[in-house]
Amino acid sequence: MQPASDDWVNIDSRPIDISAAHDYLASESKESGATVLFLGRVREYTDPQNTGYSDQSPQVERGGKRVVHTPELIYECYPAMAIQSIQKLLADARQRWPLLRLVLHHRLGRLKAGEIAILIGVTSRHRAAAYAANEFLIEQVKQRVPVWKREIYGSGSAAWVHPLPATNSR
Amino acid sequence: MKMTVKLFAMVREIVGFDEITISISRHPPTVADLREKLLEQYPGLESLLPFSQVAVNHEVAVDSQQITVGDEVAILPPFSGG
Repeated sequence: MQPASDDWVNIDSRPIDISAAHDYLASESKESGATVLFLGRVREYTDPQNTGYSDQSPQVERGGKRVVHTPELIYECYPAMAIQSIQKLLADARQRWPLLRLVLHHRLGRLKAGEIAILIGVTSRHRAAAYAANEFLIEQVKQRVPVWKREIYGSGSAAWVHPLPATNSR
Repeated sequence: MKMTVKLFAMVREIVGFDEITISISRHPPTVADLREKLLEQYPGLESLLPFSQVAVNHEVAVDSQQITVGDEVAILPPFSGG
């Protein structure tokens, strides 16, 4: 649990602890004027093009759109490489912006809609760097960290999600 | 050369194992040789493998990279974390 440096990386099946992450970001915070915290949660309804959608995926109508009902997800990762990739991303962010503390926690295992899948926390002296670095990190996680999700549909069927480069949703 | 290859997500589901042993006659084999051999042994990977990356010792490898004894090799289908 104890972060070894100014970066705290975690990837496991425990629920994400927002308050522990914030306490870590806030400690020794007299220099950090800005804290940006991003939480990514599991959506209950997803656009078909962003899912492991196939013709068999159960769709429902919501707000005039056909969407896929995904009440649960399962995340898995390639553990040794995932940690290393995240550490590299954080180092890349530090090269680009003057950052103070960084936290990146990704949850694994079975998550229900509404649960937090990822937390990214960034502190810096001023907000512009913190906002920019936080957005950079979530985009890079999606492209460079070996984590995969399996959608469990309302009907009980399931599919892995393997987006092609052009279909990543923001 | 014989190598152990780690498989994840849909690649693992298609092959049916989370780790397989692949034998490649060329010494030392390249990532491209591994891709070719995988498709030969597991034709079900045809649509997914071209979009998957190969990691050697936890780093994404290009097709020309050579694989040596003791390297940790993994097939990584497109990521969907975050």
